[in-house]
Amino acid sequence: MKQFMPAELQPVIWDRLQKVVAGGRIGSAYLFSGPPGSGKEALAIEFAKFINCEADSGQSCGICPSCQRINNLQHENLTLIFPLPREGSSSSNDDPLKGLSGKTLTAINEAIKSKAEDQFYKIKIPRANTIPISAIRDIRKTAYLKTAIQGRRVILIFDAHLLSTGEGATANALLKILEEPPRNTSFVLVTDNKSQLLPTILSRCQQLDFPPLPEKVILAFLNSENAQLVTGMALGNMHLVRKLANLKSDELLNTINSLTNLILRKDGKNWREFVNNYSRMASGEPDQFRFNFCLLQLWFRAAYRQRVGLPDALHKDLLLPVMKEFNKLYPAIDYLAINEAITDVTRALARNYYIPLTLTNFLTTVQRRMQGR
Amino acid sequence: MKISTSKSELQSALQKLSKATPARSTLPILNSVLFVADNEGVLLRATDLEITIITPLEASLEETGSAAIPLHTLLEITNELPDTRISLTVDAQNRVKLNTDFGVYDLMGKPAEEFPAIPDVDGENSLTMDTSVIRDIIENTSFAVSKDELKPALTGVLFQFGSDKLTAVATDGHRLVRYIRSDYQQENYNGDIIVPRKFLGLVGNFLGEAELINLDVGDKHLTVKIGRNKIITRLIDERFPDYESVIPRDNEKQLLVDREIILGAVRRVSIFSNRSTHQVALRIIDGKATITTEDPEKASSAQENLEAEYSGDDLVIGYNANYLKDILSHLKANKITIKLKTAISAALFYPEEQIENSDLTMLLMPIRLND
Repeated sequence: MKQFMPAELQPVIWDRLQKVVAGGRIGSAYLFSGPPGSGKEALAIEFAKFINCEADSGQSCGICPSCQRINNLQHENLTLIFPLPREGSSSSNDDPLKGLSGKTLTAINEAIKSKAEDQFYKIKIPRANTIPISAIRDIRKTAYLKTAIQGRRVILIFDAHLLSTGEGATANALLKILEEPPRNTSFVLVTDNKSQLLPTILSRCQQLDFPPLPEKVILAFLNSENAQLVTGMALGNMHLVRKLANLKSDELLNTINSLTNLILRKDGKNWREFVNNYSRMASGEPDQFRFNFCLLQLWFRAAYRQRVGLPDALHKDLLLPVMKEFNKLYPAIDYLAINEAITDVTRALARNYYIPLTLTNFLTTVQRRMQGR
Repeated sequence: MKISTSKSELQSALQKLSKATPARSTLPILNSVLFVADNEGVLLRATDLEITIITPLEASLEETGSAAIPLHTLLEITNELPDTRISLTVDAQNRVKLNTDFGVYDLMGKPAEEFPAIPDVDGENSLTMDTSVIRDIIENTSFAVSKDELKPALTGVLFQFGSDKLTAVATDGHRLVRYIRSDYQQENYNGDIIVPRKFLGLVGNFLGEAELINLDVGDKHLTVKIGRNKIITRLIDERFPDYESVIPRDNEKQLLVDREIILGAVRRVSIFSNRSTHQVALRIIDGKATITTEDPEKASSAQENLEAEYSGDDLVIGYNANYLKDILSHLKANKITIKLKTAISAALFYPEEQIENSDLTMLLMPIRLND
């Protein structure tokens, strides 16, 4: 797996972070926000490595024992916090891992290992929809102890928007710490959805907004025959790149084509089939469900760009005439509302809504929006 | 690395180290014990990042080296083996092989470099302490340490090292213990440190038969050497509150009572107290002391008379029975003196006679009684 240097991934942001470290002005809290797959987590880990590097070379050397331990995500100054499932009975003051089954613990350790090996790996523990308050309280237990070795303690909170789920108790517990930050400690909150974080947390973080990854990074990552197509479709989202890269160009275009046929044609039998198949997929293969809706979103984006005369990677032989015809048939189509309807479906999955009903609503909404209603 | 040792030696070392090994962690390396075999011997190290334990292993060394080996697997197989010699070999790929008379066991280790570095224990001041001193401090103070992580300074015991005395203080905001040893004198270190409760509990378990312990007080760490074992803890990086200002000096009313009698009375009466407030009252009226409780929710009440000597005006004061029991059970004296002022001010508990060269003061805040 190709590993990128931080300066390759996000040169402007990395330059800023380097200056912060060089000037000895490391803050107590940072927020790395931006679109999915833009290298936020990778840069957060690199930042922790840089701060704790034992070589005094103005960047992380990657070979000192400290860098090596951070490479393995096994450093004493590095704490990783990410969403965990609710299992067993444990109180908010317990160890956050208490009550988790052996299977989940294995999944967590495997995920951390995979993250260490692959900087774009996304830690996703099954049924983990929230960051438990015990994970934040656990920080407090050790945050006020003097630092064990040289360097600075770095606490990385991935999917930080999931701090604010429910009544936001976890976010408030973190806020309490951020208000009186422990000495020699930096928090790095990483999120795709900055707007879901409490304003009081945002105001206590130095915010770094990540742009999508540069095309050259994605091209360097890919060596598949569909590299150009995937790069054009993914718009700098490395998570999407990895999924798209697994499919051949023809396969990809056929999947998109059949999906749009299923949805756009007003046919009761087609729709019943769609609702049944996708409801099953939502419970059995949620990742595939999200991916297919992402493809649908890409198709509508490409159709919109065709209408306004912008180029798009999906304007291929097979799809372009269909899009032209589509735009001619539906001149009043509201692309923005359709985009929102697709986002709502993927959100409904995360919120555990009744999927057959959600999908039926989605189909009728798309039909209405195609007519501009 | 290749070493050979006996089952009992390895088992005893691993059992000690298991106390600093977290049961679950997102740092799997912490579930391992680091073996370092060099020409000076074999040292084993385990840590949960707060506490580090280093212990030597009596072993014959055949080849130097180091590796991190999963502690629980190693301990489990060692526990299951009868008394025998165990030969432990680690190859360049960190594959661990245990050879015994009964069989061969393989498991995967990790490179030593992945194991957390040994804490940086610089700027240390070396002190020696009698085991009885540290044991008394742990017994007298640890129960009053706060469990509330929102008050980090109170989650440890304050040690104030002076040239002519050592003061240990613990409080959780409801009760406070101050223990002074005036027979502890040293010239090497004057200063204050806050030591986490967990560490003191661990040290208590390690004390055993040792007569003396060595303390190395650093800027960030406290190292305790007991025999050949070394336990290192990170210190709490907070300022302890000014406890002297909360110890009242004008509590004129004085109750002298047999400790077992009052403790027994509180234990029995508190059974009938409210399950959420645990409220009991000490009533001293016309020189007669009683412990009472009332729970309107369950319509239950209890009362016991105490044989006690009292000097002062009448007083009715409420306490959380659990805190009161804690204080009374940790005052190791036949008779205790309770100094009181009003129904809403702190009470002081002392042994009637202090042990020579020591001064133990326990403070308990009252709770306001419902009229």
